[in-house]
Amino acid sequence: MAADEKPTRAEIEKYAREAGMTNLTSEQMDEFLNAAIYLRGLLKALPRDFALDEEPAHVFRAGPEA
Amino acid sequence: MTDLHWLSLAEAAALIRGGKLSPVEYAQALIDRAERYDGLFDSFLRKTPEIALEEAKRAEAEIAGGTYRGPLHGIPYGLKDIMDYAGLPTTGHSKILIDNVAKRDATVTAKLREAGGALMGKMATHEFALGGPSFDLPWPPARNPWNRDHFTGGSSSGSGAALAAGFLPAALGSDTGGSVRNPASLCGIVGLKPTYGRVSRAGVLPLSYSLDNVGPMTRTVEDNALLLNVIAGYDERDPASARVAVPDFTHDLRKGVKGLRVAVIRHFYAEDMEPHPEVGAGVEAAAKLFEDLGASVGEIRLAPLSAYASCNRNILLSEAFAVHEKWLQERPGDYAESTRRRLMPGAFLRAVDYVQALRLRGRLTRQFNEAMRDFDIAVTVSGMDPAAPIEDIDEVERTYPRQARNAFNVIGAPALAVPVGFTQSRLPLSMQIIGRAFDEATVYRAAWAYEQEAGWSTQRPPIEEMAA
Repeated sequence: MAADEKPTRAEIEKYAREAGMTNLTSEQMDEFLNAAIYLRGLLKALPRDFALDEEPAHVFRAGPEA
Repeated sequence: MTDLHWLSLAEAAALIRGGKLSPVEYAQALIDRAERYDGLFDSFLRKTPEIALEEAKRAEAEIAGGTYRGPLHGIPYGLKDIMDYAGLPTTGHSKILIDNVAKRDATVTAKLREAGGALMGKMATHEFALGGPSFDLPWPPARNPWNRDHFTGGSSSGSGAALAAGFLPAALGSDTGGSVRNPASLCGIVGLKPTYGRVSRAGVLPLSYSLDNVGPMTRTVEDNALLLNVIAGYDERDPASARVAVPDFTHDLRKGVKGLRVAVIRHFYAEDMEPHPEVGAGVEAAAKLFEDLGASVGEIRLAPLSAYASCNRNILLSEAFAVHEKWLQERPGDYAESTRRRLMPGAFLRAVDYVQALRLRGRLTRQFNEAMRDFDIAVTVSGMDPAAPIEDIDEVERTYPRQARNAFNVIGAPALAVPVGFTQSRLPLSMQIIGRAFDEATVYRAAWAYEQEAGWSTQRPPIEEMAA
């Protein structure tokens, strides 16, 4: 889910089925929708302006070589 | 002699080694105290008095026979209930693992047993080290010994509460986004998130593979260093374990801070978030004290806290969802509501978000290493608020993310929570002392000097009054 998407309840129910989350009660489906909304805020704070040579910390090691 | 339950680990070890304290009498005194008062705090998920006494008896016999294993010999301790002790359940404070009996010790457990420790019990946690405080699980959440109407912090909540209440002198917690340092801060004790890779996580329930750490929790800085001495070291069972030398972390404790270069990370609490006024003042007073003791004090700027929080959450949620996906699909109703709510966002994260968070992690780590080039340690706040009322879920939810701890899970550096005083309503305040990777020794050296001057570690909560 991208940061600019506003999920609807129907979309979330479809997503839940696709994700194998088929045992959710109606209340838990509300939680799932809220989780998606929460995530939009989180993703907005994640920068995307990386240089090409900024590799992910695949195997993270603390210290100057990280 | 000080009441047995308030002896530091170092004090108790000296008495045991000198034949002036029986490990069995010591364990029994703490068992009796926990039996009398833990109904107020629920710090133990499972007490193990039979094991504690059996291990204490063995220690006593060995020491009487001339075999002294070291400072943990005959010392009672607690394990957060995500850590395996062979033959006991490791529940993660969750209905899902209520019958999960460990077949083998976690590496840290094996090290504590080899050192001669006596297991007092498995300590309450937030469910799977993530949710909580939850009232919809098979066990209640731990409560704060300074005021039982308040939150302990989490997720190593039982470890923090039991130490503050004088039920044991040593416990282990785990820290993925601050879960050792949060309860240490709110319960007025000392807690370390070691350098990532310093302490093995083998046999410990995972939350987020690349952020999880096991850390020592104690009432004093010296005790913390003694406990790290026992649990640190390379372990082939843990793929993240680092092949680095393990020094004696107590060796430089008493060297003082004269000449030490201290960086204050002020923007975390002066710009990025607005703390409770007494929180920022505690760190500023500590920085002044370091200066008075002969350290040079400067300031560094890092990325804003929001960048660290985003990085930590994106990685944590991705990895935690991978751990919990099957149970969330099959048994969503067996989680506490707060755990389920915190895990679910992981379902929506895309691979690219995870990879970008890992790229950000590298950037933030390089920035920290560069900023610390001219400094030995850094100091900043731990949380922005004192302990919230535990049953005021909205206030707990509001204050939980208002913290500067997860920054150091992201960059992997060691970070120690140390008491810096109390609010006017007598709730503990805390700061963090941060070091360069694998330099816990300098962190302890600075923390010990501060602790001796400030004297906060000698303060005790009014347990007996609460029980009256």
